[in-house]
Amino acid sequence: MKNRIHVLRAEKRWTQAELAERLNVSRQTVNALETEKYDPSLPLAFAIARLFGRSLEEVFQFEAGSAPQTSRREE
Amino acid sequence: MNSKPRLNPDIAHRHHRVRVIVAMSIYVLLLLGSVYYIKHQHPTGPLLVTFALAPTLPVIWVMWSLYVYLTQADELQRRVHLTSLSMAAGVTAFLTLTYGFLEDFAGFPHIAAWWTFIVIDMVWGVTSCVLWCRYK
Repeated sequence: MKNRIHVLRAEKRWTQAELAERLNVSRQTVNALETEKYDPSLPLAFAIARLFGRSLEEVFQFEAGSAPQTSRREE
Repeated sequence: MNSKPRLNPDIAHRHHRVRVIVAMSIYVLLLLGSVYYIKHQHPTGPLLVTFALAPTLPVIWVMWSLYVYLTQADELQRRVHLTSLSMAAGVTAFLTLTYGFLEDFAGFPHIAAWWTFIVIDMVWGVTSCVLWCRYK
């Protein structure tokens, strides 16, 4: 899953630590989200979108091939 | 577990690390003290059992600290720790089972049960490092 967290954070001029503080997650987690190595849970994804004042689709973009295993099995 | 962490996960992790360092320092002191006392004073009965079990007290503190940390950790920290802990439990179970067979059927020397603690901690440490590297 692609996301625009890095760009949105840069617009706000927040550091990773500041964003982590606002989301109540660790700085390592913010880094993993920005480098797209970790897809957040739905509640965290909503919290991120709400924090930036955007819709979920404006922050996260679903890419083909990045579906979780359960969805792949259904295909 | 509470889905919304109360304390910032970075601070919670720092608190946990400090608690583990203090607890393991006490563990080393109690272990050395107990070994020295048992070797030189030769206590018997309940006193011997008390000294033999004394080093486990700080380990209980570490387990409580881990529980507190996991309730305050964020979802990725929790995922990494619980995944690595599961892997460590699986690897340790396999190793102790394998060595148990070697001991019983192939005459390998006896190894004390407390080695389980060392093995599970080592495997846990290595697997959590490997998992964190994947997210860096």
